[in-house]
Amino acid sequence: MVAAAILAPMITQYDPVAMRVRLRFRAPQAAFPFGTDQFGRDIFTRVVYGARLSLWIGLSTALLSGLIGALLGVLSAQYRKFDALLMRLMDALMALPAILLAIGLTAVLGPFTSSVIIALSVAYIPRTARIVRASALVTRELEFIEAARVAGASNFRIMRRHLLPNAMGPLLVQSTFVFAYAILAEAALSFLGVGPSPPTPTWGNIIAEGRDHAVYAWWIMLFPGVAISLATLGMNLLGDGLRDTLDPRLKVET
Amino acid sequence: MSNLLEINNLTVQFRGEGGWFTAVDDVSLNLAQGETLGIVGESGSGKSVTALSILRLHASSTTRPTGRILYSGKDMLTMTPRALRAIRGREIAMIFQDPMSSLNPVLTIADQIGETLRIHQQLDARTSRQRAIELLELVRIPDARRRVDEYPHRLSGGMRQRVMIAIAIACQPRLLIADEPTTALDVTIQAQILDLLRDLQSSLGMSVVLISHDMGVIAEFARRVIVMYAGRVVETSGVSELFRKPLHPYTEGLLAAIPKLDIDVDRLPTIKGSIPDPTQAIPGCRYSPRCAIVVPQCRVEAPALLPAGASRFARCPPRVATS
Amino acid sequence: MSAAPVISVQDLVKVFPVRGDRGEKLLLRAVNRVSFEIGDGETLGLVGESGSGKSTIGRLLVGLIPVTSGSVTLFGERIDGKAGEKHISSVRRRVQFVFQDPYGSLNPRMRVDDCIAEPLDIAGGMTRKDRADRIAELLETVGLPRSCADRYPHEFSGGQRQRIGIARALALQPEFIVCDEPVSALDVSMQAQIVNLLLDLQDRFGLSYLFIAHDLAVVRSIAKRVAVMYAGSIIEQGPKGDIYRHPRHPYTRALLDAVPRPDPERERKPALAGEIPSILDPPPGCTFSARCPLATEHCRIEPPIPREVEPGRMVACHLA
Repeated sequence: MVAAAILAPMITQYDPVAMRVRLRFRAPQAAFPFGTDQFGRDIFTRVVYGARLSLWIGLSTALLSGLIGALLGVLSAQYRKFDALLMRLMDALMALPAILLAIGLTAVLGPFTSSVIIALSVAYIPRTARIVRASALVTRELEFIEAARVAGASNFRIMRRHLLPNAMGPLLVQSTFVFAYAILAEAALSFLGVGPSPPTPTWGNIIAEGRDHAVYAWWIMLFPGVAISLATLGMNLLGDGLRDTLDPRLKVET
Repeated sequence: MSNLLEINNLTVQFRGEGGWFTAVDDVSLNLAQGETLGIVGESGSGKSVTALSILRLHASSTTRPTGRILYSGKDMLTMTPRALRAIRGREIAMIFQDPMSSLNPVLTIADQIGETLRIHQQLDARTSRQRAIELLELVRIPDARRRVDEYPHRLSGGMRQRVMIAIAIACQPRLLIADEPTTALDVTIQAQILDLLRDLQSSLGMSVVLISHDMGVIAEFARRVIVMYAGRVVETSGVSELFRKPLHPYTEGLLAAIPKLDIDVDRLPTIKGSIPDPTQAIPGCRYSPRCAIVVPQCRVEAPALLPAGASRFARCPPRVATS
Repeated sequence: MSAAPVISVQDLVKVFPVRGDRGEKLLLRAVNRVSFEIGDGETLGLVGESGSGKSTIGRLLVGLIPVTSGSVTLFGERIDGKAGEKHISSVRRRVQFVFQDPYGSLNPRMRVDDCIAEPLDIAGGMTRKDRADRIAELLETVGLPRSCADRYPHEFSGGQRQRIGIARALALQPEFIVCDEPVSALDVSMQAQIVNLLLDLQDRFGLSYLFIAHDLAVVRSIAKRVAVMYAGSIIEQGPKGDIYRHPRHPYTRALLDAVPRPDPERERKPALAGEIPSILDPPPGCTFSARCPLATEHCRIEPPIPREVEPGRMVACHLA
């Protein structure tokens, strides 16, 4: 799927946004594997281009929330006062459903891809921060941290050299889940009309446009939907697999 | 008189990352009624695995035991789960090393002792609580009437271990398996618990299998001793003979390496090398890479457990030959 | 004892604020007016059971935990109190620590060479080549092959990891090392090897040790002087031979009796009754009085003051 997204222009021959009204509502066939929509655009092409955008949003959100979350998590674990403040903030943030938060932020920032990424990242930072914080709190109690202190390590060094690396495992696993949530959230946002505006294809707005024609042109909603499911499932499985491989290796040997 | 417990050629394999490896290799032992047997060894010796195998406490999917474990003539390894459950807790009981994690933190002491009483003796709540108090008094917990309603976290390590012992003896088992019961306890508390176990054993007539890495504990508690190394039995002996004149070089090396409390030494004698990884295959005698009296034959042929006097066995042909 | 002591501790106190069962604020007096000295090239063994405060003392000495009151003087400089905080960094090079847990004392995500060189990296100023040479030198000193440097801690056994921890402690060429139960987590056959290594290092580099352990036999094999702790205080202190052969405090005697010996014929004494006391709610008078077979009314009311009964020999007991 990722390969398809990257190679999109090479595997499709149609312009995803050009309208050819004569070709509207063709059912899936050889020339148009996923059919065409109400403007005659090839769904397959649109889904593939949509993949680019959705996967890009997923990746950016995971990276951004991961980076900021890691920073906040480690600082929280090390400085108790900062921790108290930050965790209250995170609690408040988590109280809002991610979608609502994202809608609010994109309304403010405008219907661009970057707004969606920022909005979703903010929504998911509490998750990543918590995971890193939890890991760092455990790591802090281990003897090698004391050993570093006896060697003269500063707080900064302990965070950088010891707390962060040991939190990478759980963070990576969490990030794959954030990736999946982000794809779903983006689809929901686009569906609701917030986010990148038409004619730019995203999985969400293809489905939204297909809603009105669902009865007689079912293919417009089906294929993007399947794409979303596959992407989400794929990331979840990746996350589970990562967790299983990383856990026993990180565990203390006896 | 026939033996209470007989282990014949027990081999236990575990499934690890690289396939199956052998944790216990062809171990045999006998235990008569009322006898105290000590199993001593370091990590990787297989002593705990042997003990856990008696009650089949390992996960069946990753464990492969072969051989026979006969309790009163019945084979534990081929028993039905129902028959096994009837024996566990009632005829054979076990206490473990870590009293912190062996008790359920959300149940009171009365509930935990009561569990075994309800399962095996079908006592009602009132009778079981009364019996629990009696048991706590038997294990010398002061103020038992009040303690019985407390939760484990209110008790010290020594107290929790006593509760574990109370649970174990609740149905008056014929055999008690104690796996490192005092290792996690302070020295003065350890002495109390060992005294308690000794007294209970003589008053209840139980047989006890005591597993420990501590030679001192074994010396003070066991009548007969089995020494294990890297999954095999290397020496079997009565306790006095073992400490007076150990036969196997490992036993000898171990006794020499123990720091002495009563004399001053300049440097402690050591056993060179380290304990082998269980997945590592060693040709011939498993102890040969570290042995002080090794001869070429030792590296070629895996030695058998040879008789060396009255109820003594040692897995060392050169030693047995000269003794 | 030769010349001026390297380490001098006077009336050391450490109190931890904790929360009780019902959420009330309590004070835990983990270390209660402890005093001792360690000379150059000497080993003081600090023994005690859980709750005795011995591990806390170790950490107080290297500045891992701040002192509540009393003085800690290392190489003539005080490291306690506000003024002391400045000195901690300057004495840091000369004082190091060996930890108990071979599995927790090394960062699983750092290679062995980075683990060992961490003190050097923090101190700074070494070229890459010098650093690599020093790491190789340290590995050799603790009896490990040079090839260990590129590997990760989980590839090594407990005994080997402990050697790595010792190599790390030696990196800055310290003069004094606090060893906190360094062999308790190891198999018996490995304990002897590590104890011998520590003795050899002491001979070679002229190190002083504070050797903290609960195992009296191990302490006998390494220490020259021994201090016995109970519930936060040192109740007896003196040369090793005296303490082990002629213990004067009833607790020391009970402790020595309680240790199981590899001697089946040995006559067994009855075990000491009672529990290790809670230091949250210490009884008035002697902390040992509740369990002491010789305790008198006076013992239960009046806490004993440590007395020097012979030169270099101290006991805190009304009846000694």
